[in-house]
Amino acid sequence: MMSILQVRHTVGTVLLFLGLLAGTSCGSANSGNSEILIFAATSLTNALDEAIAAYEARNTVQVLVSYGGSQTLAQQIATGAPADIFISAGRFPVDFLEEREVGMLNKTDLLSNRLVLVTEKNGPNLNDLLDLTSDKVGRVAMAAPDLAPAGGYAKESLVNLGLWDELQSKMAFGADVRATMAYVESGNADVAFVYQTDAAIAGGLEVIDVVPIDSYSKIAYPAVLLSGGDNPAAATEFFDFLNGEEALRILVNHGFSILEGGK
Amino acid sequence: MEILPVIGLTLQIALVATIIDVPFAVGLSWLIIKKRVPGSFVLDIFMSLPLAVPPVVVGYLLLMLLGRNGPLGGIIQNVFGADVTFTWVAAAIAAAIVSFPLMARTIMVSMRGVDPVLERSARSLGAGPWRVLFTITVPLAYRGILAGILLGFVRAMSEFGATIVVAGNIPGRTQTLPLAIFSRVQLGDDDMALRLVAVSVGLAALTLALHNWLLERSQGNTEAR
Repeated sequence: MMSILQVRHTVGTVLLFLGLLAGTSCGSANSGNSEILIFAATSLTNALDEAIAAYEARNTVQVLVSYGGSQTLAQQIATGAPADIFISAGRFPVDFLEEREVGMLNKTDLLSNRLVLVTEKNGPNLNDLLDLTSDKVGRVAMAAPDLAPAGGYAKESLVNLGLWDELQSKMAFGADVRATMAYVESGNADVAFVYQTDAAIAGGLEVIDVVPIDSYSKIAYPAVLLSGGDNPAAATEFFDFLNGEEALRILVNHGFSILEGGK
Repeated sequence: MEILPVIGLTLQIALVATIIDVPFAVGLSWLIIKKRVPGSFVLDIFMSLPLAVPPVVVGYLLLMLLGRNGPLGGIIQNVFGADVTFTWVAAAIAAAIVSFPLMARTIMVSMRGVDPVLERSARSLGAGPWRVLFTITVPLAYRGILAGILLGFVRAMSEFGATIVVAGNIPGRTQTLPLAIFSRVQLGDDDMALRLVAVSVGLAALTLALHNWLLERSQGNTEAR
């Protein structure tokens, strides 16, 4: 039988441990009024982070961003995630929100983008998409067409060029475009379909511009101001900033283009 | 990104999950092991299910239950005027459910190790069932109970699959260590991913060390008896 002292000693150790942990965790997870929450396509990460930094430097608002595959994020918004603004790569996730009757205060076609291939520096030498079917290419990565529009556009292109069926056995699907690019960076795929903007920031990868621009739909990045967010006033202000000249200049510097006929 | 707020949020969520679990884990273990209530067999299976099903199943069921259109989510929305899903509370609930079987099963083992003769003696001397639980069973099984609590805590800290479905991956609100690592891996930010991995491994190792130390002492105690 153990003594009371022993009991106290052991209980004390565990309580001390948990107490120390509790002490370090106080004060996190606040969701005060000075925060706005953006859900944005992963492909926007670097460009949007820079635009937000510029905005936060002048404003007291804190901008939180949850990056992910656009359709994943749209699904979360539809089930009640309190996002103030949603920036999607592609129109489909926004259409999905409209079908689900998610409240929107404003919507603009913010940006456009293009598809390219990336390989490792000494990777296979590709002259066109037909080369993907040759033996020099093992695994071909793209974002899952159902989860991220980058994959949808890549699939559309391959289907239109009559290569989709033949390439099926070589395909590896990533959760979104960055995950897809990481497959090539880590040597787990030989080539990946990514946006030009992602390719631009990938050090150490070869960018091959062989995806015909007319083989897939025009890529749009709609930005939506949602009515279900916690902080509509601050969100509206940021939304206007995002569609303004300064933010667009930052985004274009990261390789995005402005959609013709869009704002 | 800053690492400290992520660690803080992870610990906060795991702690709250653990605190939610403890009374249920001790209570149900007692009902199953000591009281042998009717349906114990089914109860045991039911409470162990989160260990056996993919965490994404737990997350999805929680999302349906707690979401805006879910039965519980609607009530909570009416009472508190706020959503549970995609908040740290949802992450804590997900972690609580996924980590529950580990905690409860460890506690059940330790309660089974308490000699029923001692409990019967206490009963025959006039102690009620609650008194027996808190003066005989729990004190004799306490090291195993603490070990179970720590095991539950370490699992709660590492919860990913259910959390990302019901709480999303929102920096500063629901992004715990595992989710932050996932994001960094996706972005190809190996530097930050590896730093977060180191923190994650360190916290887990520390908790497991304490757990093992407790368990060793608890076994030593049983043998001595």
